This record gives sequence, C-alpha cells and structure tokens, in this order.
Amino acid sequence: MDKPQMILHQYNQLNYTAYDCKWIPSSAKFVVLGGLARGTGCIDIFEVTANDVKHVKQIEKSKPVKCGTFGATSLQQRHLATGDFDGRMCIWNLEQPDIPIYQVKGHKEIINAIDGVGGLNIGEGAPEIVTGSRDGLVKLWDPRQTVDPVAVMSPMNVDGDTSNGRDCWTVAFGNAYTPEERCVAAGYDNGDVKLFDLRTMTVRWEANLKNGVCHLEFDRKDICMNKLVATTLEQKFHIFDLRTHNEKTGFATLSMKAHDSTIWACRHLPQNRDVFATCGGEGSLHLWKYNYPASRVKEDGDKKPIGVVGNAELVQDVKLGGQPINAFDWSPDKQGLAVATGFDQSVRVVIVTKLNRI
Amino acid sequence: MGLNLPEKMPSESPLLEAYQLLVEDLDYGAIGKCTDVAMLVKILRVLRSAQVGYYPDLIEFTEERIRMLNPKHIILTKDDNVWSREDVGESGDAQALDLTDLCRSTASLGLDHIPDLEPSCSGTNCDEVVMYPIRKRAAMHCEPLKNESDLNAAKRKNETEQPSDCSHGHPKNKRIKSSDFTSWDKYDVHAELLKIDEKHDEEKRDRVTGCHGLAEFVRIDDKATSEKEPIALREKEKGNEAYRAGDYNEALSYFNRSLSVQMSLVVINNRAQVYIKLKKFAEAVSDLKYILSNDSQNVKALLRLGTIYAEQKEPEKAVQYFKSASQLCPESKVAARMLERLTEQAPTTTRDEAGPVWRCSAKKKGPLIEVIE
Repeated sequence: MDKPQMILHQYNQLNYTAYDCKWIPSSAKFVVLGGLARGTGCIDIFEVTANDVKHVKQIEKSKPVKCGTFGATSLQQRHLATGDFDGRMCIWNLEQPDIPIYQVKGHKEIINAIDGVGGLNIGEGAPEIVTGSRDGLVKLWDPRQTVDPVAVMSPMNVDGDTSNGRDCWTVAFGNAYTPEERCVAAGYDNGDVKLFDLRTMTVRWEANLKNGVCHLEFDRKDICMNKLVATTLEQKFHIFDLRTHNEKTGFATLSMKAHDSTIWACRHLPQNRDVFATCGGEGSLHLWKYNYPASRVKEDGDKKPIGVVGNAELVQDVKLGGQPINAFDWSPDKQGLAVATGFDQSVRVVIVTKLNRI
Repeated sequence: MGLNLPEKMPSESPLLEAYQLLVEDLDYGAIGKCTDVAMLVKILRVLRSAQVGYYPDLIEFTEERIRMLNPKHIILTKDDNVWSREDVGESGDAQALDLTDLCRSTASLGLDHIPDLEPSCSGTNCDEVVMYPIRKRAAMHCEPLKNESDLNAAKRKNETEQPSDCSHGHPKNKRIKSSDFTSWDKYDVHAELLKIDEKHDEEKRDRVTGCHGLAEFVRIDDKATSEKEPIALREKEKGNEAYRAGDYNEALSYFNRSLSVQMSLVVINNRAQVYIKLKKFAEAVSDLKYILSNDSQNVKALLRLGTIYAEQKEPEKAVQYFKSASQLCPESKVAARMLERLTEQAPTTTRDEAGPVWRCSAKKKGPLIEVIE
C-alpha cells in the first residue's frame, strides 16, 4: 500500500467536447476549453471544494477553443491565452471575458497547441507564447506586441516551397534558465521533432519518431534543458536526455511502450520533474517515475561524451473511462491534484496520493 | 461454373489473419509449450479481441504463460478502474486527500471567481521592474524529415558540412607570410584572440554538462512578499532534483538561488550535503555550524558534521557529534553504528592506522544521511 494511489475526486459530465484543461494558478479553480455542438467554443470555469466540484461560469465564444495556457502571464493577472479552430490567438481576462485583451489571427488554420513561458515566475526573460498550427507554422508571440509574431519557424521543402508544411501538433517551451537562453520543441504529424534554439535562431536538433507526435513536454521549462518526453500515435513514448549531445548519436533516448493505444498527453509533476503522467487512448492514466543511471555521461569510441539514459518505472495505472483522455493538468499549488478531460464529454478531478514517497 | 463465389471469403478474424496465426495455435497445449513471447502476445491480442470467441480461462492461461516468461511485459499491465474517495477509506493518504487547505487559502476570498493576490509592487518600486526587451523579428526555415533515410542524409550532410564550416568561420586561417607587411597591418590581434575565445566557449557549450550562465540569485525586486515563499520552494525543489540526478554543481546553484530569496535552515542543510559531495568540507562545516547555532537539536546537521570529521580523520570530534546525535535521537541506527565503530577502534589503534577504518565506515553510512528534504 505504499505506492501512490490515484483517486477520482469528482466526475462531471459536460455538454460539449473538451479539448484542454488548465488550473488557474494559485486558486482552486480550473478552466475547461472546448467546442459546443452548434459550432461555437466555450471557456468553462470550475471550482474544487473539499468534497465537490462546482461549475462557476461558462463563457461562449464564436469558434471552438482548442488549447490554452497561463504560462506567459503574471501571478497577479492570470490571463488565459487560447488558440482556436480559426487560427486566432487570444488572451482573456477571466474577470471580464467579453472581449479579449489581445487578439491576433496568427494562423490560416486551427491552432493545435499553445505554450507560454516567462510568466508565473517560471522561466527567466520576457513573457512569450508559442503556437503551433495545422498550417505547419510555429509562431512566437510577445503579448506586448500586437499584429506581428516575434519569430516564425516555417517548414520548407527542398526547393524552397513553404506551402506544403506538415501539421504541427504540439509545441513546448524549455531551457529558459537565463534571460537569453530559450528553446521551443515542436512535434509534427509525420513524427518529426524539432528543437528550435531561440537564442541563436537555429534548429538545434531534430529527429523522426516514425509516428505522429501527439505531445511534447520538457520536465521543467526553467532549467537548463534536462529531459524531453514525446508521446506518439502508436503506443510509444520517448524520453530524451538533453544534457549531453553526441555528434553521431544525438541525445540518449529511452523508448517505452505503454497504453496499447495512442498516448495523448504527458505531464510532469510540477513539484518533481522525474514523475510524470501519460494519458492513453482507452481512458487509462499511467504514472511514471524516471530513474537516473549511476552516471549520466560516458565516453564513446572517439572519446566524445555520450549521454546515458536511465529507466522509467510504471508506478501506478488506472482506467478513468472508456474514451481517450486527451488533456491532463497537475495543480501547481497542491501536489497530487489534477484535472483530466476525456472524449466522453467529461472532466474528472483526480487526486494522486503519496507522491512524496516515490 | 455457375457458382458466383466471392473471390475471397471475408475473414472472420482479421486480427488472426494479420498476425498469420492459425486457429490451432489458440490451444492450451500449444500455448503451454510456446516460449516465444512475441508470439504469445499476438495470441493474447487475438483472444482479447474476441474475434474468434471469448474464452476467459484461455486468456488468463496465456497471460500467466507470458508472466512466467517475462513478468514485466507491458501487455500484462491491467488498468484497474479508478477508485473513488469512498473506496479508499482510511488507507488513503489523508494529507493528499484533504483539499480544505487549498480551498481555504485560495478560494474563499468572496470574489467573483479568482481570488486577488496583493499587488506585485508598491508605488515607486514599479518603475524599477525589470522589463525584458521584445525580441527582434526573426524567421527560421526547416525542412520536414520524411523518413529514416532522409534523417540519415541530413546527418551526413551535417557531418560533411562541419569541417567546411570551421574553415568558413575562420577565413584568415591561411598563414600570412612574414614578409607580407600589408596583411600584417590589417591583422587585428585582439579580434583574433576574441574569436578563439568565442570558439572555445562554443565548444564548451556544445559539451553541455552543466548550466552555463545560471545566475546564483533570483531577481525578486518586483515580486510580492507572498510570491517569495513559492519561488524559494521551487528553487529548492530544483536543487533536490539536480542532487538526485547527480548534478551537484547545479544543485549548489539552485540552493544558493533559494537562499537568495528566503533564508531556510533546511536548504542550508541540503547545501551542506552538496558541499560534502563536492568535497568542499570547509564550506560544509561552516553551513552546519550555522545550523547548529540556530537549532542545536538538528540531528541531521550533527550526523553530517560527524561524517565530515570521520572522513577527515578527526575521530574525537566525530565521536562528540555522533554522541549528541544519538542522545537526541536514540533510535538513529547511523549514529549508533558509527559510534560503535569509532569507539571500538580509537583506544586500540593510533590515529594513522585507524585512518582507513574511518574512511570505510564513513563511506558505508554515507547514503543513510543523504536524504535531502
């Protein structure tokens, strides 16, 4: 009985399809983003109480909302940045949600993923938001500058044609441990993972995982990049140790098979970067612990450093429902508290116990 | 040939066909003899799909067989249905389950929905808030990798490019003849030296094993007092994580950052443990003495001091600290064992001979007080 248990605190049925969920920092509330059957979008606010989950407010918007983040806002303001089906990126003040405080039609097609850094005291440097879209572009925004993105990462075919981009499914910030250093990882439908270095504006590293990359996350955004987890369509997730790059072999990689289905999301525990949850296509939720090897670096044949990967241990697994769990978020304020949305039009508040004992 | 048979009978079990298995394989005898885990997994998938009929006992038998051959196979993980609060009852972790704290501290402030935090900066201070400049507009183009062979091609391209890159970056690598005075006039020694330095730095950066340029303090001038505690806590967590990963220098930086926000004896204690790992005993001793001057009952600090002195071959001092530790915490096995070793050896041997013993015992007990909080 000493291993962590996952407990369902509350199950709420929704009348729309939920795409993303996020805790409102330093509060007991969370938002659920989704699309209603009549083709409009909504931002739903819930509040957790000791024994219950209360619906606070529903804000309806003209287009379904695909993704959201609080990553680039201050702890005082807590403005929510969202990406919608129309390619628009908006920032909302949830106290006065009628008109967005920032709005830009950033992409031609749906914004699949959004991430923020530099806010909430996480990450050094300027607050920035990154969006990834079906039009293949990854764009970097500064909430203080409207209309134009501060950087665009566009795909290009060999002949310089940029029209035939891949569908970008996921983006993530990392390496923001000094005001200058910053990286964006992007995952595409063809299995590409690209790591963009925003300091030098170069592609720092790229790889192909053979299957569409559903979700990417750094274990922490605001440290010298340590680990990156990529989850894919076909049962596998990959852990890259980003500390040591070898010219020939790249980063040390651990590939794990799990869930027997698409792995929709991976989220690291904010209080411990080596514990993370993965969400599967059959409604399952797995909790993993990464164990480091005795030495993280060794020398290869040419006396060049080469990374050594550790192992990932399955700590606990449960089934939340029959449909995929497509989004998951740990509470930044209460260790072990989490919210998950599923394609069965539901939102679940989950509590994971005994996390400080693993 | 009046019969109009379809060219191919629609398969009753597409999975069975896809795996190229025969119905005969799905049999207790065959499964019991099979040692090929991959084959068994295929059989299990077919059985679980129920395309050839549902045989719960045979499924269990196959699972048992796989468990025997490879107990940790991923197909054996069974996602149990999630527990509700009622199921857990008293066995649960009461602290984790108790949400009243969170709700009280953050949600009871009567506002529409989000509780207000105090404003981040008061009056004049606001002007001094650091504003990071907006990034200059930039664009980046990258080719999609189509498959493995493309990736290899890209790698090869990179490899072949690298040497040319070097020469490209340093076009002045060509030797200047000693008689070519005009060229020497143009040669800027300082610039060249700088270039070499830069190249050196770049090389260092490429070898990423530490965090270059990680500040030893956190900027908190513009933060509200209520924000400081979480920041300090987060820096401490990062330090603990780095310590567990074996990156001691990084851990040290993060503990320093945490202390720059807020003083905490726990963090100083952790920093002392990092100093011990880095063999910086003087710094460790000064940290631990500081802890004891504030909290003379800190068992961990006493044990760590004892360990340092044992390591540095000063058994008298070590014994003294282990004694006070075991008085405070009689159940501490570490202190008891160390004392036993030290007192056993001390009277009968001279200090020099005893040297290796201290070291050996210190190493043995090392991990026991390594626990960082």
